[in-house]
Amino acid sequence: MAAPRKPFEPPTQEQADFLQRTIEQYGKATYNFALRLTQNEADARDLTQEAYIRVYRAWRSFQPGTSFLSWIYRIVTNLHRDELRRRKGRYQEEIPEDNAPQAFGGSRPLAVEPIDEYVESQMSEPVSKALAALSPDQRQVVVLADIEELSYQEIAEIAGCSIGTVRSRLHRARHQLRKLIEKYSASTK
Amino acid sequence: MTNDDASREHPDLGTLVDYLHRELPPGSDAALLAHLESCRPCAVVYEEQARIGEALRMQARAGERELPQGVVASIWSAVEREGSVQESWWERLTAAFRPVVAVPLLVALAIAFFYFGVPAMHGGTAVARTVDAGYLLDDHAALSSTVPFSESAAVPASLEQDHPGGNQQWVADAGAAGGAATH
Repeated sequence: MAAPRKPFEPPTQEQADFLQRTIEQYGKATYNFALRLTQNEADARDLTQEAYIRVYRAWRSFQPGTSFLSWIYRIVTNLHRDELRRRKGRYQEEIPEDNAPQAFGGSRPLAVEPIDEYVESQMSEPVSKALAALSPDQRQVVVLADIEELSYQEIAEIAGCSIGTVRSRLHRARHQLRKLIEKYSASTK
Repeated sequence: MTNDDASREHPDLGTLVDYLHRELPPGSDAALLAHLESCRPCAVVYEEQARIGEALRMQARAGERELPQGVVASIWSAVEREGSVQESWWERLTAAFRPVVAVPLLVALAIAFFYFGVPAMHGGTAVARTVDAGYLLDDHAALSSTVPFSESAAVPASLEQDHPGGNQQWVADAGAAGGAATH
């Protein structure tokens, strides 16, 4: 069922100023966030455009004093999720969401090969590929936690889930990233 | 995990990731720091995770783009389109007949039809339909009164005096009277 049409309201100067200011201050960050989520320029452009149209429509719901970036990231995240649902028919979860303990850790030391041999420049391509290979949910939490350096609480608010879910997604994503970086590093040698 | 446990046991990857993101409670954080200082294998895993984080940030910085001007222009043109959208006659019509308007209107029309439309269909003039209450009372009294000649019917008090034998005698007398009348 289509959403009820909102009554026609002419734009106000205040509304236009708000949009202008937010695009100037946060447009670049929003676009780059969208780019990291989608891994695709065309999708990132569409997502950014749609997000700012939502900002324009719902500008009054933004509470001054709160983080605009968190708000716009939440909008982008929701739009991205909707788009994935629309494209796939359902939002696929590659790895089940639970807080089950992982197969490593405990009383045994974690004997893993460090990635010491890769200098930063060598890591860049495998890291980029590994990030792109993560599931959308895992990529989202890695982008927010490691690139945007947000707290678990902030990520939970943006992603619309619990802190426990953020924690579990990030743990799995980090585990997956390590394996993927090793794999792509080996293939580029 | 207590502080002692944390310093003795090797943390799992999740705990190291939480530590890296400064999401451990202060006590556990301090205990894990002490553990990492004394446990080389765990320190190696931690450093590896820290390097992955740094590589992610470095890769993100390197790949950072300016917001394309085309996007800004598209946002403004979409906003202008939205602001200048005029509702078509069909949209105005459907808005006028949205449920909150249409339902009371239909109810009013139905009432009007019942009062004025139905009589008009039956002769064109409004005919007052009255009920003769006296007729109904008479009818009711007739139905509820005793049916003569029924075997199960109670004998009227006036006849009971004449025929103390009860119903059977009364019925027999009635039958004899009927037979006499036919002859």
